[in-house]
Amino acid sequence: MGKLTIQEIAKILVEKNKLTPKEASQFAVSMFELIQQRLDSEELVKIKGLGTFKMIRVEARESVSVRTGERVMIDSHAKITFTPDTMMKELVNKPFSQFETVVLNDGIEFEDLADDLTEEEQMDQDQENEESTIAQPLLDVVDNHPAMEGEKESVAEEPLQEESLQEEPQTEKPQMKEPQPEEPQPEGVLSFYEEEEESLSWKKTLAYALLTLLLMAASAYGGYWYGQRTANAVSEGPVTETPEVTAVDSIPDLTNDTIAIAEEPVAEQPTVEQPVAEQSKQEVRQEQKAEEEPFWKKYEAMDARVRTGAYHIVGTDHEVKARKGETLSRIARHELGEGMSCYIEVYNDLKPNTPLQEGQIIKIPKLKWKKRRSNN
Amino acid sequence: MQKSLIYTQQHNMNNKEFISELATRAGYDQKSTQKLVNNIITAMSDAFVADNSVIVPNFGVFETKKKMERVIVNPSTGQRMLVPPKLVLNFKPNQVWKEKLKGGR
Repeated sequence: MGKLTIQEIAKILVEKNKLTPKEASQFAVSMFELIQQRLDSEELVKIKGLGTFKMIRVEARESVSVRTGERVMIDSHAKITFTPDTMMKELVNKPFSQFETVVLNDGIEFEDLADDLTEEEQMDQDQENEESTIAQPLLDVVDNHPAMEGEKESVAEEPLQEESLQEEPQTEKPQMKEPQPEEPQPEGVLSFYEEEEESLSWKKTLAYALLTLLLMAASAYGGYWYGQRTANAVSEGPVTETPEVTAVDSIPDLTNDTIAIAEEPVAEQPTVEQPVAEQSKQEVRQEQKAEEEPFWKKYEAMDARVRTGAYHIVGTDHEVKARKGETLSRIARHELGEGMSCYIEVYNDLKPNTPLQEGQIIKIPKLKWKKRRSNN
Repeated sequence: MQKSLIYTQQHNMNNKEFISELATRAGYDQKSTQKLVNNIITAMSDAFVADNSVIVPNFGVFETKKKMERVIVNPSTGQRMLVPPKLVLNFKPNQVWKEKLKGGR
């Protein structure tokens, strides 16, 4: 950011006109002097091509000091305002001139905007944790534009909805498979990492995280004892260290996961007790995944939001008839929750914000929480 | 009489008046004065385009500022609008002048 001084302006005048440097700088100075004098005598000065200078009187008013909280009196004073000419305004704003103010429709959540912006990013991070790929770009956008803070609320609602749905598979399975003696698996580290991230972002999920943690700890504890009794591989070394190592050796499919995890700090202590339960959970989900694969693949290919979202479409849950004036996003919000309209859009092969006919039948997809990174 | 003085309209000095006044002061004819003023404005706008500020001693600083994009809500309709980022030209009078404005009344 350089600057242009009156001397340089004078130099330009000399180059363009038959003037001596002295004359030129005198002229430039007297031009601004005149503006100032006229303004001081409460006149408005309009200069073609530059803009309008105006003096405004501000009445005395009472205010509150930000620092002390005391009431202070602000004396009446005057201030200078400058409004650039339309021509000047457009010239200055030229780099951004192609942008226009856009009306955000009812259905467009901020999530959609973020998705468009970060699509390439998401491709790159395919190996990454899915939850974090969605959450982070969103938050980035919000951070960059403090004025959009209001958006944050509606965005944050989406993961909350997911949480409530997630609860079902997570809470049941560990108990079912509890007594299985297993080697520690990376999944434990992974899911704890995920949970930590969520709870960081949304306080409300904290309670849920604690609940699952408790359950996992309980089941892990059981499995751990069983494992100790049968003198399993677990006893080989300090349990805190083994998860990554053994996992790489025993299950080659998961090497991708383990590598990614290895990069994460493994400082979390709960990992010690979780692995056993997580392994059993993982098995259960893997079985289910094998059956579903062809179904949801199709929809994922259709829309990046579904591909990167937290759910698979596994079938039709039920159908609803659109009432008069209802929009797709409204139905989605009502049936699935905030930010879930992409699943309905894809499943019904409708474009976002397509006007709905009264009585049109909308299929509500049955969603299943994705097991993270299972198919890497 | 006094009352009417208080409520007289602020006098607006338009471009034409400005040029003629400047012409008499600087001792040029109006045509060349306008040309010189235009030259100055062109020089200034070149600076603005290049993201430079223009500093005029005893007067103030002209500078461009970037305004971030933001979402506004129409309070009566609840409609949300995304306002794009833009560059605006800003003028700040220098401190001496500002003080004079404050203390002068």
